[in-house]
Amino acid sequence: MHLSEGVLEWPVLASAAALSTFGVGLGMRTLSQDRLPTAAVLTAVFFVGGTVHIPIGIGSVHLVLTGLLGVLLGWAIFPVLLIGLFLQVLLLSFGGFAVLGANLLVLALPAALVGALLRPVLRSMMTVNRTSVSLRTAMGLGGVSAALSIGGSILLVALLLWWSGGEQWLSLMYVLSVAHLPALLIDAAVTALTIGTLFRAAPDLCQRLLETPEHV
Amino acid sequence: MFDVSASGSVVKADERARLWMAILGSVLIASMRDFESTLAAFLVTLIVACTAIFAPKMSLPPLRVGRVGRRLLQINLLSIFIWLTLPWGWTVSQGWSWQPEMATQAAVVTLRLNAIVLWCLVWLSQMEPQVLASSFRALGAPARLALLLYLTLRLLETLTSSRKRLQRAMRARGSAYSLLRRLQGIAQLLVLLIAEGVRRADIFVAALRARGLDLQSTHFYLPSSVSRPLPWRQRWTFTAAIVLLLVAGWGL
Amino acid sequence: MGVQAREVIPEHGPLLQIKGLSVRRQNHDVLHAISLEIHSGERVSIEGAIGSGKSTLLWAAMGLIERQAGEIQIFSKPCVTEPDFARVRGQIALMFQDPDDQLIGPTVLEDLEFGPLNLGVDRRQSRDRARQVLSQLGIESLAERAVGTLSGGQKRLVALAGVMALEPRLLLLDEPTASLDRAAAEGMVEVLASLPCALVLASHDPLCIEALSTRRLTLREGVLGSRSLTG
Repeated sequence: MHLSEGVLEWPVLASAAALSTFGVGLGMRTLSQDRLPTAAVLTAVFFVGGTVHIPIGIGSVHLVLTGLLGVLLGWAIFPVLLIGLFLQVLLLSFGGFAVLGANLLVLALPAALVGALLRPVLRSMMTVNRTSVSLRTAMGLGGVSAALSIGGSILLVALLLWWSGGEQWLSLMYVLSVAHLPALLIDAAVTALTIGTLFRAAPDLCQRLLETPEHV
Repeated sequence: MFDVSASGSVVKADERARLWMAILGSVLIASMRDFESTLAAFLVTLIVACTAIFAPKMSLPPLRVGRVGRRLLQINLLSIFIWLTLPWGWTVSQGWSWQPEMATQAAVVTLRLNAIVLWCLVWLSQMEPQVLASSFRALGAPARLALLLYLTLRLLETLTSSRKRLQRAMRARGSAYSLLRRLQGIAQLLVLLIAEGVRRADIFVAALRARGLDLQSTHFYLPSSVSRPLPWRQRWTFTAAIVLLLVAGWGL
Repeated sequence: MGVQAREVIPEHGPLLQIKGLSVRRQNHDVLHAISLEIHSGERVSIEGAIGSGKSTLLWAAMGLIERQAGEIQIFSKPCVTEPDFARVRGQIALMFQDPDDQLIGPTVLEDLEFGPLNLGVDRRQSRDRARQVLSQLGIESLAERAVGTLSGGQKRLVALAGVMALEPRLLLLDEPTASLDRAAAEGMVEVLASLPCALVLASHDPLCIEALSTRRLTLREGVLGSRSLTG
């Protein structure tokens, strides 16, 4: 899912970084001090998720978890992923600094949009009685949010590549998109199961994660 | 996660300077667009990396060959994709054909890729996580963001060890062979990590507040080890590296 | 800012006064209608089994958790909101049960400076205070050590030094001798006995309680009683 250093041209990198900075600013406004502990936990979980490898066929995929973070964080996913990606560059050498803004935009924007849409729905489902029907719907919503977030990220990668080099990147875009499909499916399944477990086994925690941030 | 010398004291390295070097170099190399400058930049980073590996007396952070090799191998999987797709054009009359100008483009991307990875490997090897938060603050990040990074770093120590413990416990209860069972296990693990993490994070924040950190203030203080000036020899090496890169990339 | 915020403490009246404090967590009373007064010069022990609510009481007194009912006055000032508590923290300090939660590092000296610097004390004075506390506890040799490399007993001493550097008038201690061997526990008790400030000790270690307390209270299932009533 990470764009590597060196692939994109600098005008694309600079524009993406500018948009990301705007997103981080927006996210910081919803990240009140009461949410700092949970935001830090989700940042750490994103980082740890990136080190969980699931073998599939001959290769393996690692968890992306942006869909999960999107519904649990909303716009606050921007600062959280900024820290997460920064640490990945430093400690795992995933991605890089020049491309950090582009990677942040690619991963956070679709997840933030999906989160803004689905977070209120999930929150309202927490307050009504938790029947098996609403549990299944919640899991479904989780899966959908992961699929949409990662699908959106793949599209954004393609868009940035297109902007950077035009049609010459066409075949690479196809290859990369297809290569990311297993990751999308795995992440959708894990997100659905995680939301399900949170609803079923840890309702208080779930409520705390989903509660409306008070604006500061 | 501590970088500890024999005496047990923290190595007071130059995290902030190294972070700046990595970022500055990455951005510089990323902005190069023609074959000659990217090749020159790649050669410079190669020289710097070799110096770090073979001549640690030059005051560069020491670097291990194995780590460099693994990382380059990883990153060049993408280069293979690029070389398989980029230089080939498809037309109805001629079928697949080799396009030299696209091959140059592929070479530029590959060189840039490798140059930046080598450059960052040199400057970021053995970074000490404990002082990252204050370095991050020194780069101009707002206080709340630096605090988020600080808390994340503290949680990472806890969560990586809980992750290992929980995974061992889960394996002890019988390994799940089907993919669905395995994914179910991962989901459970994530929820346990989140729950454990939130419990710890609440304690960390309470401890910071109990010792006088006011979350509502923007002027709070985070511990750092970066206030020391660089030793002169390191300063020269750092300057030489960045000047070399500038001349190579943009002087040509 | 922090310097101006430190207010002059009135010499009379209790250091800490709690009336009718109740804390509920997950539909369960952790603390029920607790009332408590601590005066200067006192060393009050709160005994109770694990899970009896000792830590919760100390956290609530520092304003670190939400309470459902009750009034708290610290140094005769009513504390209701977070800024009220933030203003008095430092003068009332808490040593956590697990020193790992409290130590910030990276080195011992920098850890000790953390509190004073955040309270608005300048760098030179913070360093002086840190050095002074280290010599007071006889652990100057640890100054440059990384906190991660300390032993369990050393960590607890450094955690104590960290709160001492705040120069508190009232110090709350959560199980100060837990997980220490006999000799280290005795050393800790000796250090605590030499402190000039008032102490509240949440503990179930008889050694610590017998040696230090001037008044003994017990906490059972969230209800506070004096020693004679429950004993």
